[in-house]
Amino acid sequence: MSEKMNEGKWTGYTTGDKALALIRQVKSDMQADNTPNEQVREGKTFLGFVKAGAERQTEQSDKLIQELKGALV
Amino acid sequence: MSESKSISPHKHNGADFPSYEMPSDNDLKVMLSEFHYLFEMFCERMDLSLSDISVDEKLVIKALIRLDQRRLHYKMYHNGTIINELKEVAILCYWLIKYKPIIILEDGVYTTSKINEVFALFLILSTIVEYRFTQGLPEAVIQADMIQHIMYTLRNRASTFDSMVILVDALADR
Repeated sequence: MSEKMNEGKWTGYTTGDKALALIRQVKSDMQADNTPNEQVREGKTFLGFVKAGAERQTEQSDKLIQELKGALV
Repeated sequence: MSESKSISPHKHNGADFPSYEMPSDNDLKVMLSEFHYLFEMFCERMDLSLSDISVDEKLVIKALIRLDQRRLHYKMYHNGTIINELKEVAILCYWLIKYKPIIILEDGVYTTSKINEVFALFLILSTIVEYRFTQGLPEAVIQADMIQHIMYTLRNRASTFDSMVILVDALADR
């Protein structure tokens, strides 16, 4: 992008076809700018998914539950 | 500048801007009953007596609607993105911590202190377990002493949606 300074006043406006090209470039960049979002539940509601996790007790989750209990005090 | 006159803040590409519709009454009823189930499971695992606890269900419904609004926000403004369960739980917990719908009787006094944050962490940890399991990944390693640090953050630090999303993503080791 051109950027010219003229006695402190910015005069580097992009106009016409160049402005359209610039706009398309920004739109394209923004569409590509996403973080991964793999939704993994299948046939479950969101809270049903959380419930399944709560029911899946493991050695580590039991340990963390004990810590949570301690945090309540 | 005659061109700019035709750009209305109430139109999007010439069409009326869509307005948000809340989930149906029946959908919210299902969500509320799922919430009850999760909450009872939480109380059981925490050895808490339900008789010492009160839940402002209006605030729970409000948090569930806020989550739904945010889902739509991501879909509309982020190229059709359907957010994953880790983001969903982060957003729900953000609102649960803000609204504090759970009240517990402690030493003869009703308080919201800690229980809402602990419940939020319970939801976060449960979601992480299921998220990784569903993806065939080994369990995330979360050190027990992290719980106290996260509790401090949830109770005392200013949290935004984004910081909650980052926190959950980091805990899930993604």
